[in-house]
Amino acid sequence: MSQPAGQYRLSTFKDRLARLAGPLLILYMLLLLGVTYLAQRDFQASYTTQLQLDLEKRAAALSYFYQERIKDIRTLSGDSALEAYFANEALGMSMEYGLRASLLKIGRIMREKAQATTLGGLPVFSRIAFMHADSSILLDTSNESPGVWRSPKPDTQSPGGVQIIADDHVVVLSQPYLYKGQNKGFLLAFVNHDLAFRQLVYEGSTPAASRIVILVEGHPVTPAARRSGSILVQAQVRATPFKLEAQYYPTGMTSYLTSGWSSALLALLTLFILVGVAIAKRIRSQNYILFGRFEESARHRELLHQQNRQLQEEIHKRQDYEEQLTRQANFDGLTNLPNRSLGMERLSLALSSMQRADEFVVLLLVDLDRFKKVNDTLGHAAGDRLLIEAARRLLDSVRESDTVARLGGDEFMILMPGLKQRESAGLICRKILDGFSLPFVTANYEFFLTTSIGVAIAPEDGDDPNTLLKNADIALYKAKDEGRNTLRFFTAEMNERLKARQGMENLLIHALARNELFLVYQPVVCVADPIIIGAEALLRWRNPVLGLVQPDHFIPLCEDMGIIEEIGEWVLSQASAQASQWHRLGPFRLSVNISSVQLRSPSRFLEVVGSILGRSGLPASNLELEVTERVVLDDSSTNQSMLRGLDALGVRLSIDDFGTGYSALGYLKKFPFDTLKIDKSFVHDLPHDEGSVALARAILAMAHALGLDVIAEGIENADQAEFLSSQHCDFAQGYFFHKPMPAAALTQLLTAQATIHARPA
Amino acid sequence: MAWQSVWRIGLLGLFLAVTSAACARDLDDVRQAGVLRHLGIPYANFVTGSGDGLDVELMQGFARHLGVRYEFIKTDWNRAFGDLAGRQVRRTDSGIQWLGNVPVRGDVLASGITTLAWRGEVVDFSNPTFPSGVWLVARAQSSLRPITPTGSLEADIRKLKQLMRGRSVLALENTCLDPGLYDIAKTGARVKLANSTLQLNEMAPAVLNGDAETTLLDVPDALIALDKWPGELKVIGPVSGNQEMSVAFRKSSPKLRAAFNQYLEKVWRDGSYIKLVQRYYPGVFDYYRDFFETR
Repeated sequence: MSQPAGQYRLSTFKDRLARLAGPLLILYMLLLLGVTYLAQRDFQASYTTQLQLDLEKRAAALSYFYQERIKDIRTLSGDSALEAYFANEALGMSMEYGLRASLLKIGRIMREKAQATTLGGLPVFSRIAFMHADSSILLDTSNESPGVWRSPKPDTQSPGGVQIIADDHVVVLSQPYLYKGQNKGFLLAFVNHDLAFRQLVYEGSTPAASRIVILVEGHPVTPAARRSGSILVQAQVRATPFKLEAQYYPTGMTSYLTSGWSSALLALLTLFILVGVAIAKRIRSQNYILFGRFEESARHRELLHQQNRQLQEEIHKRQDYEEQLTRQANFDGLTNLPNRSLGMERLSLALSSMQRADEFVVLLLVDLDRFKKVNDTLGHAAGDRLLIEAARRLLDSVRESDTVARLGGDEFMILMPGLKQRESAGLICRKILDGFSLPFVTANYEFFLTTSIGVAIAPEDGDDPNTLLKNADIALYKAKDEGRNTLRFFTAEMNERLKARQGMENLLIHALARNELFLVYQPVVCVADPIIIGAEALLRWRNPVLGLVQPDHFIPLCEDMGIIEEIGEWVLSQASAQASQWHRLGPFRLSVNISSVQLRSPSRFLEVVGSILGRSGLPASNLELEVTERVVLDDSSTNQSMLRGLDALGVRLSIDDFGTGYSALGYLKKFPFDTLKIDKSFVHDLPHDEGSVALARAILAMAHALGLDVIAEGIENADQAEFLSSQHCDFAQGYFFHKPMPAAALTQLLTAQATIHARPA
Repeated sequence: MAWQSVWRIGLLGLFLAVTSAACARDLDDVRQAGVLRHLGIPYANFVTGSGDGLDVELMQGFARHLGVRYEFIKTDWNRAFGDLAGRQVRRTDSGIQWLGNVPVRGDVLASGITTLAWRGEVVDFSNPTFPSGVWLVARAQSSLRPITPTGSLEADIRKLKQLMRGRSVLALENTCLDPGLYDIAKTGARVKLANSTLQLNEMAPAVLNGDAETTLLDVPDALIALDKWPGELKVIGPVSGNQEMSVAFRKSSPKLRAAFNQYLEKVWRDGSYIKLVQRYYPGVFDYYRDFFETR
């Protein structure tokens, strides 16, 4: 079962995430542990600082308290009563008379001070006394054992200033009293230290359960055992020998946060989590292995599936390819009709299947008339569309059992097996011809296209495919030869004629090499004054077997055989060389007929003409090339450019056999013609046939109007010559003047003519 | 001589009868008049002259006790008793000498009046209100040295008087510092009587001022002086035995005196009088604590 790509990617992402989660969690827990440790340490430091600040605040309160008490004792010692007493004493006054009053006053001030100085409503001084320098007690606010002084005793050696004497729960402020620079004793104030400690140090809520002791010189005034886990902070009580030492015992959340157990617990928790993660990771790892195997298996299956699918596709491709090959081998790619191979195969099959004597196999060869012109004019794409339409029309014309095959180009084969009557073939052919009577529309052009059909019928016209096909081809040739747009059934005579033609072709192909070809020249004369102004070169073939063959017979064969270019070049070369010699005797214009086939390669032809003129020395203006109306009517851009190229060389152009073709007069103006030759068919009935006269006159008038020279061909009698002369025809040629003659004969004529014209009159 | 004595007594009786009749103003009269006239002399903290003093407040309390208005009548030592008794009187070495009648200006005389014998002939004293005595006080620079007490007051007085020979002693007649009261003249001292305008308060400053080497000072005033000018005065020794102070009444005002004694008893017991003493004479209170606390 294949997994969707998106799901697979998601799964892979989850796997990666899961794989990453373990280390991340470990890292996170270690980080958490570290942060907790640091936080705990910071918290403990902060907490200690808080406690320290709190203790310092209390120490400051205590310090302030003692500073106030020191002020009290200083104020007391500065009272005038003391001065009065010692002054009176110094004056020698006795207690009985005056001195006691001073002493009593001091005592009263002491009592007042002791009573007035309170803290929280309780007296701060538990006892104030004045100890004489001799350590006798002069005054004492205490009722107990007046005059008796127990330790601590002030340091008599201490310099002035208040001493704070702490001894066994007793704190005494000692202020030495000087009278006139003499130490008279000490004012001693017993501080209710427990009260101060209770009110100032323990006052307010402590941040945690705590125990605060006062240290003097590092030793607790009150011994206190220190408990483990406590936080110990100390703070100096400024201006006193005291130091506060507090032991705080964190409770609740604080205890948890600052205790090592919490760290240990967290570490243990981390360990548990890590172990849990490790176990989960191991389980997941096993799952992952299983999942990996499953995935691997799925991948293999998917791979096999893909390979299988590719194999199937390959098989299909190969089948398609084979079908395509088969189709290409048997069918025409353009029309989808069976090709020559398949057609021949089916023909063979049909012939072999023909068993009954009353059955016929009819083979038609169909060729589209003048298809090449359409192809050349409208392009191959239009030609292809034309072929497809023609194929469709052929298919529409035949039976379903018949085979229409395309043999190549515009040639189709129609195989009609199992015909009972020969006439049926003719009907079908007519149907085909009728099917082509409708116009073809392509490339926005509408035109008519006809077909020529050759028919061969088995078994009488041949019982093998090749023979039958050959005979059908002969019949087709016949149809074409006989005007196209028709059909011809094969006959034995056709076969004979074909054989004769083939024999001629075999001879003709070697004619040039064997010097069997030669030229004759029919002079062209001026009508008014019949002097030879030039000649038309005419090709002749004299074969040892066939004898002299007329140009009408062999020149079309040369064109069909494709040797006309070679022969034409030979003709032009020979004639030009000869004319060049004649031109020395006087102005001479050589006319040479050009086949339309020669014009198919205009550049080459122009090159040939230029070359020949160069070699022969004949001026280009003395060469006149004759083309038929067919060439002009072809009206292709190729012909146009070629004709303009010849005109550019200076060669004269002549339109031959004017009036025999379509005679579209527009080309006379369109192309650079110099001469118009009236076909002999128009001359033949002159001057007695009115129609011919009218035509001759019209042609002459038109030609002269266009500035063309006119040569009338086929002049056979004097009437014709006279008429033409009367009609101001320029030049003429014909038996009346001169028959075609070898070059030597014309040379004599020209020599004689030159001699006559050179003779002085 | 006997006749003369009888005459005198008879004359005195007549006088008293006449004056008593004429100036009789006892408790009822005071109540009727609605005012208690307090005769006082500015002296120490008894009558400070500023409107207060131990005796001022005592009399004010007494007036309130009587339900009458209090009125202070200022007098001086020369006429104080006359203002009370309605007749001037002068102490003589043999007793007293009556002088002319004077208007009775007050109902009680309370101004630190020491109870002296001759005065008892002129007025009636209430129960003692304050302890006293007279000391000889000298300037600190004096060559006189304080006596060393012997434990006997009389011996100490004798010892002192032996030292006084040739010494100038400032005294004030008609007061408790009258030198005649203590036989100063017999000591050979040079008594310098202060003029009549000198107040008792001014005795110590006079000594300090060099008017005399020594002066007689009653104990309350001496204690104040010692406190006021510590180291500048010194007590040489006792001139008199123990003395007491009381409030003086006309002899014709026995009811008023009795009312006062009753009042005094009351304030003494309720402690208000002690507080007054502690306020105005804290040193004396301490010095004579027995006097005030054992009563």
